[in-house]
Amino acid sequence: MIIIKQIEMRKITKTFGNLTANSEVDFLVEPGKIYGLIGENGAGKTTLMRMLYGMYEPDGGEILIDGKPVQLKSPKDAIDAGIGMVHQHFALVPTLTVTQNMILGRPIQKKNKLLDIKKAEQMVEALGKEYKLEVPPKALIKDIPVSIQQRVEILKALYLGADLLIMDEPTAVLTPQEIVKLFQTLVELRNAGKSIILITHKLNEIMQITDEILVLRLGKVTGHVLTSETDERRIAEMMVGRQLNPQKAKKTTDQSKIALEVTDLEYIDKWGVRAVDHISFSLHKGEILGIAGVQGNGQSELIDILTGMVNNYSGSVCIDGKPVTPSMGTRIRREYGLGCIPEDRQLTGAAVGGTILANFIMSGYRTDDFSGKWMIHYKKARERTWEYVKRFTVKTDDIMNDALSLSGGNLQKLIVARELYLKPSVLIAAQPSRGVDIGATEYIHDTLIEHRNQGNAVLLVSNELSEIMTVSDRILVIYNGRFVGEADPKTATEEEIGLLMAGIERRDSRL
Amino acid sequence: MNIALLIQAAMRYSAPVLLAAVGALFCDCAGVTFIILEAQMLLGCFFAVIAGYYFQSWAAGVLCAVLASILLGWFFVWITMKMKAIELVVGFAINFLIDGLTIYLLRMVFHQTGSFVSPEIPAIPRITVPVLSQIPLIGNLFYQQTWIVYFAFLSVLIAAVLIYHTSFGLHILSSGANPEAAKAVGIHIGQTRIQCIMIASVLCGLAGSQLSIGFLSMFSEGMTVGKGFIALGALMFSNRKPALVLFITLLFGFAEAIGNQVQLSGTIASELVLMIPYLAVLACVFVKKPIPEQI
Repeated sequence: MIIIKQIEMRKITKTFGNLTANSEVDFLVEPGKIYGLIGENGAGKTTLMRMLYGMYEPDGGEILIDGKPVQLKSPKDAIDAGIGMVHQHFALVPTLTVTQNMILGRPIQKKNKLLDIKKAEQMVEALGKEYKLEVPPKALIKDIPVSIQQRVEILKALYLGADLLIMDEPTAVLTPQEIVKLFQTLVELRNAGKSIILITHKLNEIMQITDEILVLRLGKVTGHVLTSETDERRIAEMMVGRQLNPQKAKKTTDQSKIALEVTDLEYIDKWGVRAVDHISFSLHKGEILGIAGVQGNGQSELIDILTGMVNNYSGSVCIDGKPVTPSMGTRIRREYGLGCIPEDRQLTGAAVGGTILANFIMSGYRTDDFSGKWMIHYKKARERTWEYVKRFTVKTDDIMNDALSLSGGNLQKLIVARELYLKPSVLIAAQPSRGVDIGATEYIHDTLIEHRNQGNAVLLVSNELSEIMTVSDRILVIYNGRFVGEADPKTATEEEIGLLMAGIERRDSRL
Repeated sequence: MNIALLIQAAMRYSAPVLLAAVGALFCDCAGVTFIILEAQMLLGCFFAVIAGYYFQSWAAGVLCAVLASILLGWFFVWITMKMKAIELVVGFAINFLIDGLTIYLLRMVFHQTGSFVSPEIPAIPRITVPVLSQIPLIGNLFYQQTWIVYFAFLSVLIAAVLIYHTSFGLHILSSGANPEAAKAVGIHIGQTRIQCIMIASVLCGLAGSQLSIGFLSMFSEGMTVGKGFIALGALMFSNRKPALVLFITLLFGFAEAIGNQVQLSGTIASELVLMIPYLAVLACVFVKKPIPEQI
């Protein structure tokens, strides 16, 4: 039995203090369709969906189900109304089993009110078969891989009777192959009469799978279109509210000199896992080398080794012709010409409690630009910081504000500005566009290419395959701490690289 | 040394700690840092005596002890959940507050310092379970104890079933391990936690009653002497397994019973002997590996 449900959000408005997260948003969800909800970070996608899921109450407007206005005051109300949500950070209890998590919202009990785990496990298996989403009922959540955890989340929503499934950035944690599998599942669910709302900021995905697209920008609907009648570029322009600039051209550079030489790196992490497994590569001047891979395959550890954040590794690293030993720390490596845009900008990228000025000068404060003989020359430092803040279009009123006051994109631009200030001959850029809006991403990519055009080397590490493909000159794919293949972004396809990322080696791989 | 007496004494000594530890188990599973067990027990001790004395009824004493403990529990709920204060800090403050408050009230109400002893304080009657107490050796477990002692041991079983075999238990565990997950399926985390705190409050009130009018029929300043903290230690040792909670509180009870017998024999300095149960628990907590970090 399929219950036909039409859900409508009418003139929904939500404000947090001075900030308007959603303003008069209209959204009609019909059964049997996949909707894409797209917009930049902070466009109000998640807020809108949280209102539909009863986590926030709208300040204005109404939600109608089959034409009748409803009040969704808590997730429980939403669940009862047939709305399910798969959260970006899965809402699963890691220490409980798959089955326990499934029945958390609606227990399966014996007559004496005790839980009937056996029956519940059978239910999980049956439901998994029905929707082709098999999961191990007895396993603890913390022991199963992320993609299976996501299945549990979807199954949980279905078990709770969801007719509408809201998926918040479901592909962020998946490999390309897992994404394909997920999309197959979503299509099957749609064919079974369920409606799906896919929240995302990835254009290619939304074009692949959705029927209709709702674009949000600064809390307002800037487009509601049929997927078949639009293209990526138009959607992107609706997202940013302006024409996109073409990517900066790559000049031909002299790539004969080696900027970073790495041989036979090995690192065993504190859990005894060989996170980096005998890695060797060389990065040339005037080149952007992209390292592609699913998160957690040794990229972070590799960066930590190169920058000197860990020193209990073996193997040799040579920065700009100068060998560094494991015991040499971050400072010496920076003096040798290494710069790094770290992957976690809140943790290692910036001291968010410090001022913007402090964050800008913290890598170069020893140079004459910022210091006199004994002390930091704050007048000079302020001038320099303002100059760079302006040049890198970091939006702020005052550089004496806390770095925390900057949005993700602006903080990232500040970090990029700081790292480029010393003109490093080798720049490591780790996830430079993570959580950053299209405008800032565009800018950061152009900056990296400009740095390369000036004859410097860039090592780009990213989980976003599309980013690697558009920016790099050459791609290495990392899997389980080893490079499993090399690809040329001009000729290789995303599918080929995706297979390598999943650990399926090509016969003709060059490494 | 008389084995029968030793077992009976050990049961009597472990019961209050066990009750508090079971209460703490509920709170810990639900993700509440609940360290005011000591204060609740002490308040329970005081009100059991005071109400028992005025109403000349042990039942009134127990009832008032439980009510006082619940009231203190609500105060904790209000100040940590409504006023958003830090549980650990509030916990410490309340422990000190109640320690002083009972001393103050003792002086104001009874004009006594140190302790209040009177033959007019009623005691909770002792019950001997008819048939079971006839069994050799095991019979000692069912001989001449108050109902609170029997209930304490039963409460471990109840806790084990409630936490690990009911949907209420799933609510508790999810509220503790991943509140967001609980919220997402419509579980009211605040309510679940309040329910756990209330369970702990009732159990601590009972524990206090047992300490004051269950055995000695007196109140003395700071008479809980850290039993609430021993309960916390037992909980940490247990890895949230009810059986281990029972084990370590029994160990404490036996250590205290043995200590008292040694003390009576008068061969060792009593100050040293009094340390025995605490050292025993401390040793256990040291031996145990820490609970693996939760993701």
